[in-house]
Amino acid sequence: MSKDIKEYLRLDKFPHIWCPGCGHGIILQAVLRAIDRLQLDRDNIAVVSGIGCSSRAAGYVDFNTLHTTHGRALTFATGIKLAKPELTVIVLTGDGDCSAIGGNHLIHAARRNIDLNVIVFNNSIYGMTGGQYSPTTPTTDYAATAPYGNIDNAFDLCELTRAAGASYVARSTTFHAAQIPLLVEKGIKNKGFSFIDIITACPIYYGRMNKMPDAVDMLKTQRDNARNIKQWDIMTAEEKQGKFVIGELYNKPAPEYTDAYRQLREKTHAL
Amino acid sequence: MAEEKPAASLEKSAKYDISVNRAWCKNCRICISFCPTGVYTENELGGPIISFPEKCNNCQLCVIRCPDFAITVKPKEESKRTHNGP
Ligand SMILES: Cc1ncc(C[n+]2csc(CCOP(=O)(O)OP(=O)(O)O)c2C)c(N)n1
Ligand code: SF4
Ligand code: SF4
Ligand code: SF4
Repeated sequence: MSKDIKEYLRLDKFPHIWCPGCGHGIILQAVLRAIDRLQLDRDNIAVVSGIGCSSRAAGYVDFNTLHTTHGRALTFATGIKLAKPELTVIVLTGDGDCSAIGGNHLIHAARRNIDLNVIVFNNSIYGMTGGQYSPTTPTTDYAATAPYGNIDNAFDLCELTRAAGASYVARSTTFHAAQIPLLVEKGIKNKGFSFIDIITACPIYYGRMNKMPDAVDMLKTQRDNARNIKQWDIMTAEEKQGKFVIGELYNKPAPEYTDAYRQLREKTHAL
Repeated sequence: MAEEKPAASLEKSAKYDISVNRAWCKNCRICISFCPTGVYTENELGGPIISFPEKCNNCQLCVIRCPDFAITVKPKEESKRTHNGP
């Protein structure tokens, strides 16, 4: 029988700081459900985050936690994993944190296929600093720094990390909250870089600036635009317009970085 | 009152114990809007009133979609057993 999920929380920090309807809490609960399903020893888990509303998540959970600097969650996580490969390292990060300032760390962590589990709270905006556009803000959407509409193209973070070398890639949304623990569980089980992109809502900045100030409407939009991978594969390019794919997108075991490092150490010590 | 509970008259016919932690709820209306069986109605703040607890089928969707960890839904037998012994 699984535990009450609240047992994993630092209850003295609640109610949490996130705004009404912010999807970050939905993702956090789902990640805890994945950890609970796996029955992992909580002393063997390290949760690492950067800076952003999403990165506050690390402060709310009762594991070994490290709240680091903006964009650098993956660098601290890489250090932890290399020093203590036996730990399950979970990185909770925002789209700004991991793909703007931390974008370079993201592609190189994926390239090494180091055994980290990255969960992106992807709300297509910098929530914490007042709604500046991020690398995942869709073209023509509005942001505090794009009052006439965004002219940048958006990153598809799943395509990006898959191309860079991640061995497990998945996506879901906060509307599909029941699916998230299954994807996170498989990601944690994968020995290699696991990247899980969760589309979530910042009703306060992204929502208000894009005529969707209501969290309920934002969840409905996720429901209406997400397509399961099986469906996606048989859709035409025209049908895919404005839609996005969810589910397990890539899962192919590959040599892992801390393993390679251990082998190298053994080899050089034997010389 | 910190816990939102169904009215005592309604609770008898319900199979599941539903409770909402008022101190954590931020009145986002997600639970009310997406409950597949219409258990909740809205209070003046946008938070849930457990108006039709007998309709609950324990799907847990409101629990897992609540961004504020504010809802618990449990089978009644289970909570009775823990309170009264076997
Ligand atoms: C080096 C540095 N640059 C900029 C900032 C300001 N800053 C704080 S959070 C943030 C963006 C957060 O966006 P995201 O990671 O998407 O998280 P969200 O708040 O949307 O959850 C920025 C630019 C900072 N704290 N440190
Ligand atoms: S500003 Fe946006 S991302 Fe930050 S807590 Fe509020 S709703 Fe969530
Ligand atoms: S989903 Fe949670 S926070 Fe939102 S109204 Fe319902 S109980 Fe309150
Ligand atoms: S468990 Fe399901 S049916 Fe029961 S109140 Fe929650 S959403 Fe409605």
